Amino acid sequence: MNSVITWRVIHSGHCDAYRNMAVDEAIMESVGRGEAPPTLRIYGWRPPGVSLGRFQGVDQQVDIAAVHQRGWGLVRRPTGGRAILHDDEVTYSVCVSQDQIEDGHSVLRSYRYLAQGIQQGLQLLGVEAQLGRKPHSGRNKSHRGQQPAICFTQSTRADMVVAGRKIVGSAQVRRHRTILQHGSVPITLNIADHLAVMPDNDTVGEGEALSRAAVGVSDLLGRNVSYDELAEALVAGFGEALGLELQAGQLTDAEEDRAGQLRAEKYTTDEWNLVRPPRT
Amino acid sequence: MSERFYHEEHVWVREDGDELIMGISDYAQNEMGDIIYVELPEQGSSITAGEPFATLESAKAVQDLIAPLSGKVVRHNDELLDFPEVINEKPYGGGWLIAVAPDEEFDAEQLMSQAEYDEFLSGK
Repeated sequence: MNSVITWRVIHSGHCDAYRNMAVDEAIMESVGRGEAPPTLRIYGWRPPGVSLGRFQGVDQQVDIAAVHQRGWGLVRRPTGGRAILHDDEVTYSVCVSQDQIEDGHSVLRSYRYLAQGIQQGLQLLGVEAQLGRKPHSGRNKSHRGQQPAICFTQSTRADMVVAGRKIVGSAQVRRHRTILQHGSVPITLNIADHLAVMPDNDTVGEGEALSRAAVGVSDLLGRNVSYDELAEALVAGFGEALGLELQAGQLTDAEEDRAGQLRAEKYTTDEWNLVRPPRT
Repeated sequence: MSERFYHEEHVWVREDGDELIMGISDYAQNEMGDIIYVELPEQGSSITAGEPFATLESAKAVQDLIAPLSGKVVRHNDELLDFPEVINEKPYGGGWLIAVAPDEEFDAEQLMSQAEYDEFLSGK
């Protein structure tokens, strides 16, 4: 990757959970067809929403009634990983052909490559983050029911941590040689809200576990960090660390149409969000 | 055991009587990392060349597998639903994914031989 590649940057602002996932998938499709350049999208969630991993069970891990009672969204991601409450955070997504980035063919190495952008972005704010060191779930030991429900209580080598506390959780899906990786960077973590919608029945003291295991950028720096400040730092970080030429852009009409279709026909449906395993 | 042939999306195919057995290559399982969940097409369902036919989840990524050819699923590997790690351990043996009755007569020329696949990988 010696030549400078121009990436499109889309600032979507705050959208609901269903549109957020629909837009990410619409971009992935257009990038996969070669109709759009590699794209970095930055967005937030209003109202807040809980996102589930692609194959994650719902009933025992998320209190659906509590989510609905709050008027929040509940959406299944196209990507792997565990449940996340998206509230006061900045979310990034990258859609790129695996042939357009270094080590794009390897899941772990592509995480490491893209992590450089996130790491640099956080560093611009004064946060020194590293890739997590905990190994992935061991073979023969990964029984889904025993995994923590909440993504931020568990870090892997694909996540960013600060002094052992997870600060960025990311997940990928790969289709037709195209990578969609998205991840959330909490500004503040509301432990009570997390536990209200994702009670972990098997673990006593989960709140303490979560506060020990994860942290938001504002909490870490001891000052208020705004959405815009974090968003701008992440974009700058990607550009600097990966040597990208960044160009502000927006969804094409075709992507906008497709996102609307995916929102209506996939991401707002119980069949996708609640049935496990969901059908593609 | 008959020869394996490979698709550029890293799915292998080998003939077994009238059926074709499919799995993912050792390279692909290694690049994905530890596989923790498998979704396979049901017996009797159809798969279409160039379209996703199965989905694997590793610790942090979901991978759609692309069908190298079209056909009807005769059976899938039930063991993987409980022990997906077998794909990592024996990608060419116990980690097979599905058996397919192809829509058209199998033409190995459409795929890569082991030597061609090795050369294909060396370019990565």
